[in-house]
Amino acid sequence: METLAALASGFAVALTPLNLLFCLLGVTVGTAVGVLPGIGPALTVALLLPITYNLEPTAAFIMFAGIYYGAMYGGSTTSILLNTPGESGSIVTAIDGNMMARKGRGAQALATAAIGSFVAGSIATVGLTFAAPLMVDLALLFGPAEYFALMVVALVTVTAVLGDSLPRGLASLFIGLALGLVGIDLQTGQARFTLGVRELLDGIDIVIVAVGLFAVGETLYAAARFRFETEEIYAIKGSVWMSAQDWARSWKPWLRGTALGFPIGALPAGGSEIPTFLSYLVEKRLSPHPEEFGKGAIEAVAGPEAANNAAAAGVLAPLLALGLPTSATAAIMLAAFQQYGLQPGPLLFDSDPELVWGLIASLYVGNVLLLVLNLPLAPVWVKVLKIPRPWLYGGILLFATMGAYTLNNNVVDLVILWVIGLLGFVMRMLGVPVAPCVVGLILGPLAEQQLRRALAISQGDPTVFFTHPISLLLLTIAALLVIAPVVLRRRRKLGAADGAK
Amino acid sequence: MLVAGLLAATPVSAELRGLEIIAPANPGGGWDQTARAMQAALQDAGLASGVQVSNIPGAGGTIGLAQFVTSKKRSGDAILVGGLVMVGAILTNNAPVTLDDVTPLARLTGEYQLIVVPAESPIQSMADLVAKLKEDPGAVSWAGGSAGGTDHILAGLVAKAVGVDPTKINYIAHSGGGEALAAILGGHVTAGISGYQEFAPQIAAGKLRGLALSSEERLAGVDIPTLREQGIDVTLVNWRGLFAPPQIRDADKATLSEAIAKMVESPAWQDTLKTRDWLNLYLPADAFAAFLAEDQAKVAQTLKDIGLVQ
Amino acid sequence: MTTGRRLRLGETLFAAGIIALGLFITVETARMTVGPAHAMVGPRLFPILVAIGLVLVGFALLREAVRGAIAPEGGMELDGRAIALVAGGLILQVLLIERAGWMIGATVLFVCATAGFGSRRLAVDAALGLGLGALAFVSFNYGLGLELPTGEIVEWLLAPAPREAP
Repeated sequence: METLAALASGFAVALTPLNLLFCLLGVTVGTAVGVLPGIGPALTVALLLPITYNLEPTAAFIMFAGIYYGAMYGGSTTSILLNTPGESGSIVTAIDGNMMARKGRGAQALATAAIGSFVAGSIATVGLTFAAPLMVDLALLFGPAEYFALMVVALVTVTAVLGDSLPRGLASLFIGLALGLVGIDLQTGQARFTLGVRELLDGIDIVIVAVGLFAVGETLYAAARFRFETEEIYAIKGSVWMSAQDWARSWKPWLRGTALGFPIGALPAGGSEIPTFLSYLVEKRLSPHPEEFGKGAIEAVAGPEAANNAAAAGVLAPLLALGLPTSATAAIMLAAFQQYGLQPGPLLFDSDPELVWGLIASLYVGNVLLLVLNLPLAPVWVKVLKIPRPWLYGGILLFATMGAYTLNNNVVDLVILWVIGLLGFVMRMLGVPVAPCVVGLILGPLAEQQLRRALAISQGDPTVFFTHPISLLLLTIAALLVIAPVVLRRRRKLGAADGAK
Repeated sequence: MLVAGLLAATPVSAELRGLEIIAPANPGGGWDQTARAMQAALQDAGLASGVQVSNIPGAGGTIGLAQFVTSKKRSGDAILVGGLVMVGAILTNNAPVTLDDVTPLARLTGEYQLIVVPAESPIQSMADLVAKLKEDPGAVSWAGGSAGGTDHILAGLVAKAVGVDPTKINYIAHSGGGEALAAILGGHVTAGISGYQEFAPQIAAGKLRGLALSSEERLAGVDIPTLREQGIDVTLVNWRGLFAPPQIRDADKATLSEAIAKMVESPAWQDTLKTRDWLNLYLPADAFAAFLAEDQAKVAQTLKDIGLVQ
Repeated sequence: MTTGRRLRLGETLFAAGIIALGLFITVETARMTVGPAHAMVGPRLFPILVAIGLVLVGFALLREAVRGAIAPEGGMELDGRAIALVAGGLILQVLLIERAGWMIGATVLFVCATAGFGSRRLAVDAALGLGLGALAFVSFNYGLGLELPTGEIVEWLLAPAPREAP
């Protein structure tokens, strides 16, 4: 009950009018930067650091926490409406979210994303309040072998987004894996496939590829077909609110997304993308109508959106409990602690309880503020789709290029965006799905590094993946995920054949 | 490139106007923080007005370096922040533009590297670790930052100093500080190397054991012996310094040097060093140039020894 | 402009491109100079695996193309002018962003894109593009301190006094 008392005092800090104002400011700024591709919470907090220097640390951190949560909300809005993911955690949301929007169900997609984010954020913040040290202890059990096994599980997601033709889906996956090879090899410093271009040494950014494939490729395709095809894009069709059926189909994915997002977010190398992949996979496998996936299934928006918000809270667990920054934003927050001369790390709870509990309490407050801000705005946002198409697509390209440029202040990134955009257009034209490409790009480099780390530590002994219990468990799950649908399908066929006799 | 000066106070007696400080990294990192702290200190002390910070991130600072050299040439109002990491990155990336192409201005701050093991590790001292390393270099896995970075260089220097083939060290590179720290805390590797500050809170909490520091002498208030004390003749400092454009005029260089010398003495800068726990490692231009030449040679040799550079 | 047959050609070219990418990776990997540093699995293994995968998938695609298993039956029509306008607008943006600056680059891109979608109101589109570009410029460069380029030309025009020549 000590925790509850501490949390209560935290609320006393977070609910002072001034701190509430900072929280509101944070979530608003956060939502705005989340919307824009290329400008994430990490960059925003870093840029605001010098401005907040004269602020009281508690107020500054409450604002930073608002920015962090707000960015997770904002990222989904452009994913759904414009097919332009603002954050890598919202890439999966774009797949079905944008299809929903095109069918006039954008408001429902935004609503299930907002409510799912709220549910996940709240549950995960409770988890952060009561179980952060435990989560961190569990997270530290993950070494390279376990991470590699986790990547393998996540890679199974590809089977859920492959589309109708296996070779085409695999082609997309391998293009993504190939793009992921570009850049300096972390383990040896060896430059690979950079074609002598310095700017490629750090690799190709995920957000540029996602925006290039989704937004630019889509725009080129839409332009090419504009004269011949009048595919109606409906801003709103029917009610703008979620129906009883939408709720029924959303609440389980919210909870499952949370259950995946929070622990994986707490893993030092977990990140926010992997839980969204897994959530998509799980929802498709559990859904009674998997054929709707890829065509605007509400579960495919509800689950991944809950997962990325829960992961955002998970990231704070090792930061607060251990002083361990596990994401770019967490690293900047750590720098912010240092700016105020605070000792980040395992002793922070004891040395600065007011700050830590004020920060945690403001996460609850921020979550409520975000829901209040975003839910009524959903029917307003979807009106964006009423903008005449030339202007809508012109605007999309404008924001896509702005995001790509500000990422590194570099023209080379715009060239990459153009090339990837053309690639996306060709893929669209030939019926090659683009989602596997993104999965390959994100997971390929992670899997390679973890595999090589694991084998280096074991001095070349490949049995580590099977002798570590967590790794073995994960690999078994991966194998089951691949085999089970095949077996089930065969049994169903056999059953149908028996029934026919 | 035009940048909005964030804290553009205008003192009356400013000497430098429109100075641009280029951090060849993303906002938030060490170089960026140095640049922004300088911006504040220079303006607070009335040494400069309208100071701008711009970020040109990428490839260990080599992209920012190359852009600095091509776009600034003879300018007297541009400064590039850099450091040891850049020295390593230039060599491993085979960068066409090197630190020989810019004019060293001053060394400002830095930190020393620390070798740690998890608290539960049977390794109690540097001697234990060295014994294990000599027995089987492959069995000792070191967690640290990217290949060829400061941490990797220290591992190579230590191996060579104790007579172990540096190409045999089992170095596990990690992308961010947090990732390496997690691997060490979780006991997935034998030992870890990073800046002293990153490990300090974990040592205070009893989760890590500090074995040796890469400084020349013991640090005030830190109860960890140096490598030298333990018979390993290795020192390494992860310094951060400033550079001017390649063909800067002597008069401009003198003006900049003077402003920096005054800034280092200013209360604002001293205050920053204190709150952020940065070490004052100031060296003026000539001394820094000599130090840099020595350091470049040391790093080049070490990277060859490790086998990262031919 | 594209019929079913052309699409089949496109599919064949795509398959060939995938195979070529695989071969390119193989060649580049073979040419990589790997130092003697200690590593159980070097930087070459993954590229080789990816290259093998690409070549295999490329041949599978080729087989599909030859068999005529093309996604949209009967092909589809594409507007070449629209593609050129949108893709060209992006290229102009790349060329203009640092020289003429973000605002001009953004305006040109916006006008090209809207023209690609059949808009004929050039002046309105240009004004709207400039407005959006300026809004983004102001909120980014002054609100967040980010660095969307003003552009060498604009900077020169706006410069209050000529700077001392270096």
